[in-house]
Amino acid sequence: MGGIEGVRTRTGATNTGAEDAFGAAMADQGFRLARLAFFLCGDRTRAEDLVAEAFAGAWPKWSAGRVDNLGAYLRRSVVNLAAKDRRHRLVVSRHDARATTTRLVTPGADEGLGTRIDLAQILCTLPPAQRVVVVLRYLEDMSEAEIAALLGVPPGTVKSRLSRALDGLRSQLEGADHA
Amino acid sequence: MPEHDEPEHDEPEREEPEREETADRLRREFGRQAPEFDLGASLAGRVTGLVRRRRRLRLVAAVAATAAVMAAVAVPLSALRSTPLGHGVTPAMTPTTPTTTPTTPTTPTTSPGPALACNTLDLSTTGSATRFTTTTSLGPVTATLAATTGGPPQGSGLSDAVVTVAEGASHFTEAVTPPAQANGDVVLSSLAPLPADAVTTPQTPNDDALCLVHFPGDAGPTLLIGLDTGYAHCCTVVRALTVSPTGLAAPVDMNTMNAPASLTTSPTDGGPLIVTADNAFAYQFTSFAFSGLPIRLLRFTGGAFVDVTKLNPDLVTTDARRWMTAFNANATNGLGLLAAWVADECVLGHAPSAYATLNGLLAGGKLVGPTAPQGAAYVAALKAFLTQHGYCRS
Repeated sequence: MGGIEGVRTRTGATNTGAEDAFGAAMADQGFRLARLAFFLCGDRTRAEDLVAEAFAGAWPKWSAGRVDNLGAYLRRSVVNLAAKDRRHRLVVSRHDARATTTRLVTPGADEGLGTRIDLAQILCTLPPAQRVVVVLRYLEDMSEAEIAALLGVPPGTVKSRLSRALDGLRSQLEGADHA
Repeated sequence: MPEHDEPEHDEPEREEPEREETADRLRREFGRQAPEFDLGASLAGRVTGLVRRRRRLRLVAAVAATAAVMAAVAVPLSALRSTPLGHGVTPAMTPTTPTTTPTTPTTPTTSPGPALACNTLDLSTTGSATRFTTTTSLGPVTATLAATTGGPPQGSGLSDAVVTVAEGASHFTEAVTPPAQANGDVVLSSLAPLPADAVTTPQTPNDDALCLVHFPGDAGPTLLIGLDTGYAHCCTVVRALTVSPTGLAAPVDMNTMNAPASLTTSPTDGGPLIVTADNAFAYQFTSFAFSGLPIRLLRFTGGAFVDVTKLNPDLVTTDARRWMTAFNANATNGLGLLAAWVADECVLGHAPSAYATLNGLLAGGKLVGPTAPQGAAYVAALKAFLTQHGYCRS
């Protein structure tokens, strides 16, 4: 499999500096973005595909010099792609008479860790808007202001979604502990 | 994301310390349960493929942005609709030509060998809603694609695409219709010949989608047109039309789906080959990003696509080496890549040694991945899959 080195800019010129930086971003941030995607969509294989889609979507803009902060851009792409993917799956399942409830696939997520809860499963019980802010806040360690900027919503909205999400998760986490 | 804006409000009903406790618990669980991902070189390969595919579509979209400038030189579509279309001889018909200037790149053909010639075309230099032509020649036969680039509001596919094949005084025309799997647009997909050091991945993302190919044993050339069906995880269709002194045969489409298609020359007999890969392996043992698709070599002869992979062991050997290298570089998510290697080895007649290698990897605990099946179950599933798809007997 070739790398990004085979890809040329729209003008046909190669852009070695951009390729190097982009390749480094794939190596450095691919893992982190895949983790983010996993907790957003609950499916490991779909998470890998979402990350690839995010990088592929970022490359044209990055190579044209239209992206200042590649990491932030990629993170936003993954969040948006996960939301788009979820909507797509909803549409598909509605139109598929044979569709059954999507089973969450979390292979190896808690193997050997002695934990009783499956975090990805629990996150899926949250409304999507709350799930996103929880993952960005506690997995990505972003501030409420940063999350607000990423999602394009007021900081107060982020705060209220986090509060509701924490309230919703509390009982589930406690319930799991006592299971 | 279509987020509903929610009003800011205080949430006094629960004490902050309780939320803090939940937040701490969440942080710990994220730390404990975050899965390992070993994306490695496979991510780069997957991204490269996606970028190339999107680039083709983006070129035409970029063309649409220049609509206002180029509208002055656009050709009325009615000029082309009057051209008779269809199979068979159309005597004394003048080949389609634009009535105004925008003849984009009708550049000389690329010809890696005497039996193969493709056009060169870069739609990024063609304006929106502009009639263009591009030509390729092989011996006495010349093929010309004439089409109109997309314009606002849809701005993506070509319209009124017609291919004209000329040999001596005869001209044959055929409308280029969207593949059955497409979303209604005619979008070109490069069939550019591969460089000598490449196997399954086209290195030149041009729009060289019109090729004349003389397959061994055929009396005349075959016209190949590369098309893209659009959508993600789809995309490539190779359309073949046999050229004969009496006209063009009905087009036959081969949908290679996620696998790209390119042309190369066979090291075995020097004849041209269509290089693609077996899409059946996509998603079979892992995600698409980590699925290896074993090489598939085709020719179009006798009015049908024929699989000639087994007749070209040199190319299969190179492909197998590539998958084994990729597998060795992906310790935690390599089972999809290994499957492609075993398939190639089966094609080469090395099934016993390939299965011995599998057993060795199984004994060494190396057959692990993020999804089922793994270990012995993977070996069993792989063998069944390869048998089902005609690669190996169990």
